[in-house]
Amino acid sequence: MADRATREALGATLIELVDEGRDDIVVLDADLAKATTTVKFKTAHPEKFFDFGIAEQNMMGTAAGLAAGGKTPFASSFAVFAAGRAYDQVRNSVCYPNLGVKIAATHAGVTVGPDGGSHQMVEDIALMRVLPNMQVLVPSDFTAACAAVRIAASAPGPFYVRLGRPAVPALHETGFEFELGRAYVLRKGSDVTLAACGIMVSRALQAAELLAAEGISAEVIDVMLRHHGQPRAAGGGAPGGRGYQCRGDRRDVAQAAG
Amino acid sequence: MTQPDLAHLAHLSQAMRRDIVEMIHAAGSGHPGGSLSAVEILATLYGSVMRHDPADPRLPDRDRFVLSKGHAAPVLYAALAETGYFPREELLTLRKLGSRLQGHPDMRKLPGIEVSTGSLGQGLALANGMALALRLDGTVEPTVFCLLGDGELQEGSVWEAAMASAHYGLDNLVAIVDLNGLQIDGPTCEVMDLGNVPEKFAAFGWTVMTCDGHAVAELHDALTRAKAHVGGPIVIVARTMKGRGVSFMENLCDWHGKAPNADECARALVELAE
Repeated sequence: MADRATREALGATLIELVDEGRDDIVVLDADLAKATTTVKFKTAHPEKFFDFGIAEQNMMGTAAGLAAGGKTPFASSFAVFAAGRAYDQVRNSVCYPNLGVKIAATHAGVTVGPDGGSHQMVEDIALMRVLPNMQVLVPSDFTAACAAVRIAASAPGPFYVRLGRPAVPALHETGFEFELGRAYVLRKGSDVTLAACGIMVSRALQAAELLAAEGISAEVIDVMLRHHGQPRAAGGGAPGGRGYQCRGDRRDVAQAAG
Repeated sequence: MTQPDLAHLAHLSQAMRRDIVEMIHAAGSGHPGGSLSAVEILATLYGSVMRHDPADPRLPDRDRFVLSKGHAAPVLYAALAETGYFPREELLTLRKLGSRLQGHPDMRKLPGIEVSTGSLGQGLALANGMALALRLDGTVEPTVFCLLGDGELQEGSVWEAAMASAHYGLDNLVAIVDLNGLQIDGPTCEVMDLGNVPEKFAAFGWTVMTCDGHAVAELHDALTRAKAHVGGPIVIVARTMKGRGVSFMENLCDWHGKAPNADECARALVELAE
């Protein structure tokens, strides 16, 4: 399968959902619709698309009002603006009242690349996952990103779906069905476990290859669906192994697991 | 236009003032000044202009109210209690642990609260979203009323929202500004001058009305006409007085966020007696 950007899943999946009968879905953007790919949705369903211009706080507050009015709004912008500029709206107008606003944040972490440090939102996962009621999804490939958008659209309450700018390798079978709160073992191993999310999953798989060359058996777990509490990994956790956590923004050595 | 029962609205206003003073005294903290300045606005809305049903707070075609200046929660709680949403006795639980009457309105706790507010500058965006949702549903009758403080207009997000209300032509939205001229640190013109508020809204594409925010007849006329307005958003800039109705609180910044003690509460209730 060809490499694809996770952000490409956004506009395409939202169109599918409305075409499947999800009349409650509306899409909001803040002058970045071409980059976030919501412009595709605008073209397909212009009556359900609202651009708020360069005013992310207002977009997020309006999304909360739409959710209070029974809609399922997807509010999209770059991660730096969605989680940063509009943080107080996300905190007080979305999460505190537990309204079903689905934040689709693209160009997250270092994936925004040459735009530089001003736009490289590396703290968004930390900011979003501590908010009450918020669930954070960090898909690792296009297929997982499509699933993340569908999960956010179907499950109640606020979601933060973290999407990237560049094309990334396909790691999951097309059509693979994901479950909220579940982590997935992509490579079995017995000496060490590498748990990663987002763009770092493919890196973790590369690292496992390098480790294998040195005689170390590394298990790799995709914890793309982060939410409150620990994700459950099907059959995961190398017995007696040490855990390493890889994330798009930094790399932590987790405490010894087991 | 049906004629309002002005005597009833005046009576309701006075009862709400007593509620505000009593509940903030019982709580030991809260915001009397900006609650008292908005009494007639809420009394006219809940007592006459708004379609709502205390027995069915989620009535589909109800008018919606957003208290963007969420710290004035006592005036909203007073309006809800006096119109039958919950027993008046519950007002005395304001700000207490476990109470449905949180320091700022919580939609998940108290029926009748449409959206949670408190962080200033967010209510108009919420109201825009509610108005858009009603329009998407093809529901033309309900109006979304949004009460803003004047100090709150210093928040930039208010003007982001004001731009969007006009851009999307939201004529099922009525904003009301409680223009009492004072904020915590002093007069608004000294802390951060708002300039000409009606002209600012007009420049943002709104239809603008002004009225005396304590005259229920004027308010009723303005709110009724604003509700019927078509073609875009409309704002009523209501001139008010902070602390209105309690002589020693009137027009004083110090009463923005201070609870009356037992003696002050008793004196206020004498002034506010039937």
